[in-house]
Amino acid sequence: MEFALVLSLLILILGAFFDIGLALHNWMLLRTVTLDASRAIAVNFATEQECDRAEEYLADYATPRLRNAFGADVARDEMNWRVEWLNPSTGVSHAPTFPKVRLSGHFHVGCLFICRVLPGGLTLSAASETVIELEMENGVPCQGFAMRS
Amino acid sequence: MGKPKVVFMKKKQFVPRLTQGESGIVLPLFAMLAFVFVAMLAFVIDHSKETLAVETLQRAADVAALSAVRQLDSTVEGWRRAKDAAVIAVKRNGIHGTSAAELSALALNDSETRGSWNASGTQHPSASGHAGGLSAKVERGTVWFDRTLSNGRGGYAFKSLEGDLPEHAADGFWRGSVPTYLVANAVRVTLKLDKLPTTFGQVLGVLGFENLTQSALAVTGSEREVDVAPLAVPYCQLILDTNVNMPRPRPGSLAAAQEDHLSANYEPAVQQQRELVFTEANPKFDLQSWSFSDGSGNAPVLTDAEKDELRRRRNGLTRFESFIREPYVAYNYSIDGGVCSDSALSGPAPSCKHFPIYGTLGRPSDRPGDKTRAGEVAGLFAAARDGRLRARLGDYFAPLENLQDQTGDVANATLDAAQYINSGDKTYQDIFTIEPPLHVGNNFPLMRTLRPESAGGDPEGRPRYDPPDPFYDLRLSRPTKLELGDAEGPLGIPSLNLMLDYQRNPRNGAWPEVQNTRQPMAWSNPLCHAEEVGLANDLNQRVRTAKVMVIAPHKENPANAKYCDFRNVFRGQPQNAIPPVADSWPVVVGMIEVNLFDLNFRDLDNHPVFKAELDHYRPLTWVERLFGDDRMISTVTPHYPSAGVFDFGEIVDRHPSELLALPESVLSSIEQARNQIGNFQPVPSCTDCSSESNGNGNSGNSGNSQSCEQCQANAASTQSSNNNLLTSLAEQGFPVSFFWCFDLDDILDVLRQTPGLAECANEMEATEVNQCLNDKKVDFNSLIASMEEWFGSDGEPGTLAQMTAANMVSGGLSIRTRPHSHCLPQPKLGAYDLNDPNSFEPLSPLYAGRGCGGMRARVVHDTQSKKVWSTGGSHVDASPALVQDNAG
Repeated sequence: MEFALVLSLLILILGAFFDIGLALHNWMLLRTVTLDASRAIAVNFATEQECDRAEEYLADYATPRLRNAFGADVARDEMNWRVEWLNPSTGVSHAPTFPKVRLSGHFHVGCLFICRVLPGGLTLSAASETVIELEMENGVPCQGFAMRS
Repeated sequence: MGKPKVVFMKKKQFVPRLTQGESGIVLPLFAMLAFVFVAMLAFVIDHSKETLAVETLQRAADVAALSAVRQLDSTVEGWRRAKDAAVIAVKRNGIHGTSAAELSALALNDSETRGSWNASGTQHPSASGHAGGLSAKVERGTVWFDRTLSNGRGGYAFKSLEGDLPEHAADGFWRGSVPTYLVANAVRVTLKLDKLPTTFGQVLGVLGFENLTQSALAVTGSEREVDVAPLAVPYCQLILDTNVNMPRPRPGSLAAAQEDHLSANYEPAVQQQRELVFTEANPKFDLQSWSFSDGSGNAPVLTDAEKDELRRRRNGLTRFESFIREPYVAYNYSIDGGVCSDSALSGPAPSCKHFPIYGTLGRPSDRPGDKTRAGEVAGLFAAARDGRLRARLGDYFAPLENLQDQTGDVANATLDAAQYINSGDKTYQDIFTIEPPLHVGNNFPLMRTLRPESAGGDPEGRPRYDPPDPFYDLRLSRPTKLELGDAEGPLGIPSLNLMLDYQRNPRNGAWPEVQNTRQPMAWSNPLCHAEEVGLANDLNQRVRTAKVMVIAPHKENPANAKYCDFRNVFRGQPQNAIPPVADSWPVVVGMIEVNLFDLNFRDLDNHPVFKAELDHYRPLTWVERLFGDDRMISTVTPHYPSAGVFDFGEIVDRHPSELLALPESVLSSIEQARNQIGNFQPVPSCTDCSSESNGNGNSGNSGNSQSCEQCQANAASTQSSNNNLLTSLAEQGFPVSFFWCFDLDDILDVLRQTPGLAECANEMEATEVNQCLNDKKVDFNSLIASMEEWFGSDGEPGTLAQMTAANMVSGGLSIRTRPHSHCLPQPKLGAYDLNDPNSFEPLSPLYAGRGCGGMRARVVHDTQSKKVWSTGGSHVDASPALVQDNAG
């Protein structure tokens, strides 16, 4: 019995290493995808002014890229993006005074070991933000989209 | 035998096997898995470290590029600020894998030579810097929409602008000689981390990651389409800074590289002072046989065919008068010697800042070599008015070359152009004046009078216009008496006439020669109308603020053209340049924001659309026009700015019952005004004092014991009080032009009926009438009586008459009349009944006289925030954005 406990404990320890590594990897992936997505959306806003493209991009590119990642909890069909305006004065970016759009992604990471003993899966979330141009003369572009979440 | 040893043995064997098996399998398994998992974790951690570094590099580059591009304002200083902003942004943002000391030590190697600009092209390079393992590079460049990319679908291209001249740097786009700081609309920031050491990988011999590089490209917002007017200006017209402070050798000795806009003294802000004149490109109208070089100053001798051509043009959108606005004629006296800083002039040296900027009509296009058809002009202005005309950097421009075959579209084109401007939400007063009420700012429009000369004539035999008197001074409401050497020109600038039009050389009396006959010569102004400039000095005329395109010849244009050749101009040589014709493949390289104004359009009430509107309103009473369900003010005013000016005072007097139906707010304001109007007091005449002053020997006032001094003091006080009331009324919302809206003929008719004032009616000018009234010390009451009789008072002194009389005798606010006033419906003689539509002559909207003002503009005067050349917008309002970095 002691051996079994020791074995389980060792396996959990190793599994924790694995799960932590997996979570860390996927968290960095989420950050990278979110940054890429926010930049792509910013470029799209700047050049095409087609606001629906942002949602399309998130749905067609960013989300699948994360879901296809090893360890993604595909069973949990929740993949949330949030686009919100940040007031220039309250934004967290180091940019001086720009109005910003912050894109936040929430991503469920499956686990192989720890979740066997924990009640639920691990949910990772990461936020990335970038500066999106503000059309000073004609109002904020894609405001309707940006206000949606 | 059969002893339980077996069991023992089994037990004995079992336990050691079990224990031996676990110690032999699990520990190695654990060790192996632990090694693998820990290695994986180590790898993930190291990889995450790299990812984090790349991410922070990218973020820092993004913010740096955006911060930098925000600083671009088409000046050298803007580029310097951009570099500083980029470095600050990187430092604030932080980069994983770099120490605070490294970040704080980051600085760009600034190799530029401040305070100068060198055409050799190396003094304002991109900047780079290095601190520890981090290096940064900041580049300026141009982003434009390149239709050749993506199999013709187009895409955004970036070109780094190294050096000072874009002749090589901007060759992916257009050709021309212009400082790159002026045209740069993008900043690219590249950050590189030479080495990022691993944390765990070193155990396996992986020491670190090398050369992590991320870049970001930000643009000033100029990649987007913006609303534009169907107008464009060659870039080189804009950059001509002819500031007199610029050292300029005598003609012929100027070094090739020392064009003014490439010199250290170049002042882009000076361009704000220059007036724009828009014409058609018109390359087919060859003036080579029109010699101005006979030295006699006589009119050019034309063939019959040329006369026919002129006649057609006069009947069309183009006008003969404007052909003398010839930007491609070489001066036979140089700018230095004759126009801008003639040393023979007394007083401060004049500036060339009023050298006009010549623009052309046209529209954006998606293909090179495209032309705007004359029939499109009306539609273009309508599209611009509705926000349907949009352009972006890199679009081709389709110029309007010639309108001569499209005279049938004159009415529509003129109408739409007029509507485009007159639907602007600003007025002359808003834009061009300073310090209220009516002080003229230095960017006030100039009008050109074409006062007939006593001798000579144009090709059709009409009187030729007198060059020394070319301007109508809106400030003084009279033609200027400008001659070379005058201390007071329209703007206090001597020799201004030489700058706006081609005039005879003051030194030898000769006309400028048309030397470069190989090239098309003439531009004419399609929005230029008739023979004389009217007196439409209504400061409530509308002004339209709009962006116009800045164009340059495409690099690969088949004509191998360039639009300006100031190098030769400064040398006194013929220019080797052509107008922005379609063959030059004009492309949009920037935008400028201008205030468009309409000096005069022809009487548009002949147009079917206007006529229909007028016919609709003519049967209505004034009150109905003002406040009815389809009130005229809201529907017609955009077309006829001055149609919104009505006589509220008269309405109050004559239509009290109708006014009761008006909203409370309207009634309140009218009542307030009415109360003040009632405060006007008659000005004592002091007639005997006048006699006394004339030396007739009588003393005092014959009617009472009041002394002349007291009477005059009373008169002055009352008059001052009246003036204050008028001013107060004007300030409270009554349009100033309310007091100007009486036709001079009406006033003169009143005077003819007024005892003792009939001879004032013989004066022809309003100011002279006013002087006459002052001289005669007008009897206020008799004047009112005459006006009541004329205007048909219904018993008590009409407010209209009272105000008019007060205005007439007022020295401060003299009678402001306009020969073709459309402020008020003109009453028919002897049939002045407000309720009888047949009592009025038809309204004559926008009949602002005739002349050759056409469509002109001033660059928006903006001292607070500089303009971004590539967007036409304010530096402050520039909307920076990240764009795809193709090179990256």
